[in-house]
Amino acid sequence: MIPRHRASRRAASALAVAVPALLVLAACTSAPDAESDDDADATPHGFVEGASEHEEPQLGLVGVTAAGDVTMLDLLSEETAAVGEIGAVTHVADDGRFVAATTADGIAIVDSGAWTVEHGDHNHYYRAHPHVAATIEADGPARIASTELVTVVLAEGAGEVVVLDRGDLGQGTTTELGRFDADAVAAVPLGDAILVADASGVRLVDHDGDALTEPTACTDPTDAMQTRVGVAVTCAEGAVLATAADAPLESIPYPAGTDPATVATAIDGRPGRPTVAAVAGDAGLWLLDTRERSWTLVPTQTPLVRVAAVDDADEHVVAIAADGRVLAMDATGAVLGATEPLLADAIASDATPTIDVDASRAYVPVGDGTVLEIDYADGARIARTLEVAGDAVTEVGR
Amino acid sequence: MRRALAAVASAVLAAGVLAACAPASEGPRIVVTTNILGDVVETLVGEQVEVATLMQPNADPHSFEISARQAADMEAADLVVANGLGLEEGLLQHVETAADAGVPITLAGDVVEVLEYATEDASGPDPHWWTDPTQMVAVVDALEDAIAEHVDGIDADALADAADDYRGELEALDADLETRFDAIGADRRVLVTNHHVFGYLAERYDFRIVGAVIPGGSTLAAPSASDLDDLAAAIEEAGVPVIFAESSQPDRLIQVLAEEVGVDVRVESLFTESLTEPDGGAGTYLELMQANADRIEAALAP
Repeated sequence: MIPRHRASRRAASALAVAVPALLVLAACTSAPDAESDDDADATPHGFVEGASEHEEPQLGLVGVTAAGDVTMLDLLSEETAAVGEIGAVTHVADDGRFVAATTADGIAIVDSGAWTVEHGDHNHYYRAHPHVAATIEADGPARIASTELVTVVLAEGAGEVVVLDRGDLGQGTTTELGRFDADAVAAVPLGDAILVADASGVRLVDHDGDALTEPTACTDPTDAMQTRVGVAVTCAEGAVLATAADAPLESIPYPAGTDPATVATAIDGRPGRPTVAAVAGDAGLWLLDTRERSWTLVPTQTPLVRVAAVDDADEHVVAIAADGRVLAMDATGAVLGATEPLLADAIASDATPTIDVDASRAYVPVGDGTVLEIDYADGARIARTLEVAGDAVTEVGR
Repeated sequence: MRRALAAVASAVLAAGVLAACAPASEGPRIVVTTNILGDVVETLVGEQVEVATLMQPNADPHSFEISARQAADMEAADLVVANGLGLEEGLLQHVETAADAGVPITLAGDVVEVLEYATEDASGPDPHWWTDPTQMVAVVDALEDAIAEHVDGIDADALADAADDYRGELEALDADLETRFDAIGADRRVLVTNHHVFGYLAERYDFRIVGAVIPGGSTLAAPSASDLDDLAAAIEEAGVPVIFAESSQPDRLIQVLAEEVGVDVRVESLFTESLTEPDGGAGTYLELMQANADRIEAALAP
């Protein structure tokens, strides 16, 4: 399988628009010369040309083969569409809408055309035509993360961060808002800033990479993810949490006496929720609650290789056990149900399994061209076995 | 930011001297953001001046954007009318630019009695005030004043007559809704819904709202009872076998609820944040309210 980073998404935060303290009310400004604005009528109406709003998440699975064939399975209709061909792919990452695939020509950005916008007490769900949106000059494994306004691509090979206008990207236009060098583990947008995690710690920078804050200590950063609360980075001593571009970075240390062999190296969870999960060595799993600023070690009977928090009312956690079973668990580590060891072969071949969770299902690629649709609230029942041609498969539209 | 915008608008309105020096414009004299407010403004001014409504029928007020020409129209208008309270996110910067350019702004959110919403994850002012027609009366009052003050050459008597007529229609609508909803009975005045816009309607007419998560298409493809427990519990709590929901597959939802958890329900959709095309059932604000009342009454009547 192609290695991939899982999605993370952050709520649309309020834009910091400065309102002039003193309006120049006395000035009579002349009307803009609308007549000369010949191109204005060409500007499309609507949020995204061709995008439509829907009453429910437009969930899909994007499959990328090693040869670079991109397809998308609609999880609602079960129809598969060819999206494009991008050439041989060595690595895949996604932000829940855009899929970044590393190719010989650069990092191809595939727009799945399916996305969710959090809006206070409700969400909006959109769908547009999936397409290969852009290829940006950069190499190496990519990470990709977005706000409503910007998409940030970290090219780990080149140690480079590319900041793109997300609205333009959705229209198939690459507008670079910034590009800077960073030998970073993560680069994640947060309001007007970008959180960068590297060997010097965690800091916020602007679109040109200029530091906005002093680095906050974070030894050996390993992963970062957007949660409902902010952006969390995992470090040897715990987590660093950034909640806003202008708020101080916070540290969430591990409990005293934590065995260094158990510290989290990858966090995962349902987009838009505060709690994420991580494998805790052979001891079980960690739950990092970014709202409560707490780590909780949950011992399990079986060592785990991958885990994702659902953070629903029943606090479900979906895990892949070292023996290849998919487990539905609760927050105490109790196993509510398990599949057969369907991922044993994939684990034996040293592939890193992935789990994508949404509000009712989890998706686990088996590695043989099928993806398990797991009903985690019903004892890890396999609701559907879906066929997706892909060496990397990622859920979009969440 | 929402508060800041309101402050800008108030400051501009308070200045009050701007219309006198606003430049003559070939474009629309009044620019309105949402189509619900657009319908009301057009009703008030009739054929007197050109009104441009930015939001198309069947659109989403949260996420529509406008062309450069429309933005220029806003800056050249005699008056801009917007909902405010954070509803038109995509337009905020244009409204602020127009305010900066000296265009008077009327925000409906400044004159209605604002309810707050609060969930575990978020809270703030609820911008969906139009589900209570008595709130629209206050908005009509504010629009009448603003149009009379800022739109040059308006026939004030005709405007006042139109506003009086429309207030009369709103009051008749309110009385009609009150009578019809009252007849449903207090124990059945409950909306099991995934809509988030009926807080004001509930407040005005004493409905109970039971929030519900409606399983989506990927869930309904291969469901089990666990997928429907929460919805079944909400229906049981409500005591009324009706879901007011946006569902892409209402028939499938009904079937699955019956099969998996033995609950027989009716699924009704309601108009929420946008008018339809003229023949779409909710071509005007009054039609939208009547259509929703018809559906609620038909579904809940004992």
